[in-house]
Amino acid sequence: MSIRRKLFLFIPLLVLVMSSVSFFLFQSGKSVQESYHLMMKRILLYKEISYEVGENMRSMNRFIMQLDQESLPEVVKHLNAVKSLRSDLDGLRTIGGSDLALANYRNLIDTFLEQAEAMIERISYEDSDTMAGAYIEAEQTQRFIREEAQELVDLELEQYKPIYEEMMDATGNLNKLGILLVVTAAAFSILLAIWLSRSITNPIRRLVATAKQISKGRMDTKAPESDSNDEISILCRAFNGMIDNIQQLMAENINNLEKDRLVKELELKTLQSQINPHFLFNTLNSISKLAYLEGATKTSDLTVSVSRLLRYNLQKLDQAVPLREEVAHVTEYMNIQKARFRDRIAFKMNIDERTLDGRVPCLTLQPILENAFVHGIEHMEEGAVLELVIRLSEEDRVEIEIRDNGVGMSRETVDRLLQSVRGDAPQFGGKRHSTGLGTHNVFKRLHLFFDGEEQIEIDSEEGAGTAVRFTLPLRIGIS
Amino acid sequence: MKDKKWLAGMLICIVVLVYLFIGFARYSGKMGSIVKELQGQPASGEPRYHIVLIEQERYHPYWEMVEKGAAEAAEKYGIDIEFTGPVRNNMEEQLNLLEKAIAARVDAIIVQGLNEERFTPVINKAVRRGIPVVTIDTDAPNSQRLTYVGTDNLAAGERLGRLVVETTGGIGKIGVIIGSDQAANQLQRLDGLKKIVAEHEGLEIVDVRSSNISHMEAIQQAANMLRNHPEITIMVGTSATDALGVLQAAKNRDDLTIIGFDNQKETLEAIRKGEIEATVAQQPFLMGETAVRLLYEHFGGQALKKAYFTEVKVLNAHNVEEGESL
Repeated sequence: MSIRRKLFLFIPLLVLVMSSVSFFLFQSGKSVQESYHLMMKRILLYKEISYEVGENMRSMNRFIMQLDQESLPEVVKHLNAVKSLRSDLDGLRTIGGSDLALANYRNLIDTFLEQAEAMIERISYEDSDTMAGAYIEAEQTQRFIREEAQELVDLELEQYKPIYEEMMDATGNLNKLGILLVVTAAAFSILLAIWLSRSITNPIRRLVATAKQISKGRMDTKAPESDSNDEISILCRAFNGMIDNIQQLMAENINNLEKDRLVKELELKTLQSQINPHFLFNTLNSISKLAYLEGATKTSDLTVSVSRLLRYNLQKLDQAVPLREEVAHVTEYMNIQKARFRDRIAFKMNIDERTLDGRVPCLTLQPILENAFVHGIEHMEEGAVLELVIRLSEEDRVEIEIRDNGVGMSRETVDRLLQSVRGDAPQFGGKRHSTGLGTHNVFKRLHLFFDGEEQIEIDSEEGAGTAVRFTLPLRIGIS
Repeated sequence: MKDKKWLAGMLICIVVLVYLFIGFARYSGKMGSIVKELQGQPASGEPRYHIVLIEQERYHPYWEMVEKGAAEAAEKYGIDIEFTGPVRNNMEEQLNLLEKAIAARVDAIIVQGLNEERFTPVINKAVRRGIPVVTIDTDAPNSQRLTYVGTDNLAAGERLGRLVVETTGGIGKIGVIIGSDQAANQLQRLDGLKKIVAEHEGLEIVDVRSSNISHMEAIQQAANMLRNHPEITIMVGTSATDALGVLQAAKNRDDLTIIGFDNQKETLEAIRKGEIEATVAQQPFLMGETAVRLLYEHFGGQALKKAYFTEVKVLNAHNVEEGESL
């Protein structure tokens, strides 16, 4: 549920609960009020009639004593008041079992009204004797009304007693329930409010915590993704996508850095092995000329080869070169080695011309060949064969195979070498050849250069020789 | 998980809320019905006759029996009946109540014609206003009352006298406690008693006093009389509480013969124990019942006789059980 919908749903719910509670409380209060009102209304009516009748008698008394027409309106006023109250009395309904007392009361008032009216009429006749008699009768009736009113009040109060007790019981319970209701509704509201706010702020807090972690550089943390489909979880997912992208970019960056580092290492090692290479180079050229002048053509050629080898090694190592140059370089190298080993080594080359424009990292083949010499066949007295085969496969891939029939390697050594492509340099416990850049370095550079599209295989058997096979994509042109 | 806890909490809250709401609604409904009850119901459909019975003394056992009979008959004939009367015997108050009943325009009045002289004008006034009056227990024969229902008090007094003769054999000094020296019924009983006593030379009424139908006063008066006239051998009470008062005043007089009136529970108990010799019992239940019945007949247009006498019964140790149902 989205946050917007949550708010839309739960805030009205809260308002509804609270307002219905207050409505109920208000309603029950109203009915309690109503019941009090009903009780009081009747009793007050009885008493008021009784009072008005008394007032009527008093005004009548004044009127008779003073016999002035001015006090007549007063009499009439009170008489009318009694009359209107009498009609109110008709509206009263019976409470409890019997309405005899109420009927008596009504009749008493009727009697009084009759007597009072008759008396007012007689006053004008000035028949003082009958008037006095009527007055006395009316006075008696007034007394009866007073008594009856009191009696009615007593009677009604008695009738109200059980009702009142019931009412007290009900209101007591209502009060208790009302308090509980308010408390529960409040608890419910608080619970709902807390839940609502937490359901919104918690994911935000987690998101903030993740952002902090990431800003500290811990890229492996992820924002928690909840199942709910609200705005926050969308935000979380977007955030996570962003982190993924950053991580990918960083990995690429690190790869590039690694490549650069390897090239630098190679350069450094090359530089280390060059003790003033130009001096050496010039000297070798001089030696070659001298040997030629002296008629030692072979020496002259060999010296040229060494010189070329040196030159090749001095060029920039981070550039790709055509396979042709590599092959030429290997040929020079082999010339030198042939001069060293003479007939002890047979060197065969089988090269497909179509592959020679394909580009490979500089110094790819020579270190492998050197390795084959140093570890494979250096110590063989005779019959050592070293073979370089380059061919184009059916899928237009360049297959380079360097094979010797030397001492071979153990299985573990092969595995270690192959694994080294992915890791750091293998810890071979020992001697390293002067020009040996290490097969490891070659493998690694191939891996970086071809972005993992290369294939490297090593077939080796102890005592039977080693074959190193590269299968590389054919890349022609400048790269 | 956490969400579930919240959900459970809120669910509990909602359940409690609903429960409280229901409870609240229930009491609110109860309150509503109370309000309805207080609003009252319209007066019962057809107008019923409304009669008033004015008693001599409310909550007096004798009058309670009258009331019971009248109430039963009223119930039977569908008449509303109202009972009033002074709490302590008070003739002025009784007259006042009669006046009030007239002013309240009831349909009929049943009243004791306690004092002829005082009651007759008021009864006549009621009749003049169109309210029929039935006298009960005590008559006001010269008034314009509709009819009288009750004991023939003179005859009852004579019966009392004969009872004295029967128990004493016609010799003895008599002390009399009467309920009231103003009430006609008491005086009539006394007259009846005097008439029989006069017929026998051996009998003599030594003293007559009034108890004002109060038990306490009866004790007082009886004790006083016995102190002043130790020669008295027979005590007669003419109203319900008198013989009991005498009995209490004469605890140390074993030779005294006590004769009472009416069938009050305590009197019957005393007869059973042999402390009171006998009593002349009236039939108050029958009186109440008859008075209402006669009024019903009158409303129905039937003509009534001038008086309807209810029988008296002598109760002694042999037939005391009969007295309980009168």
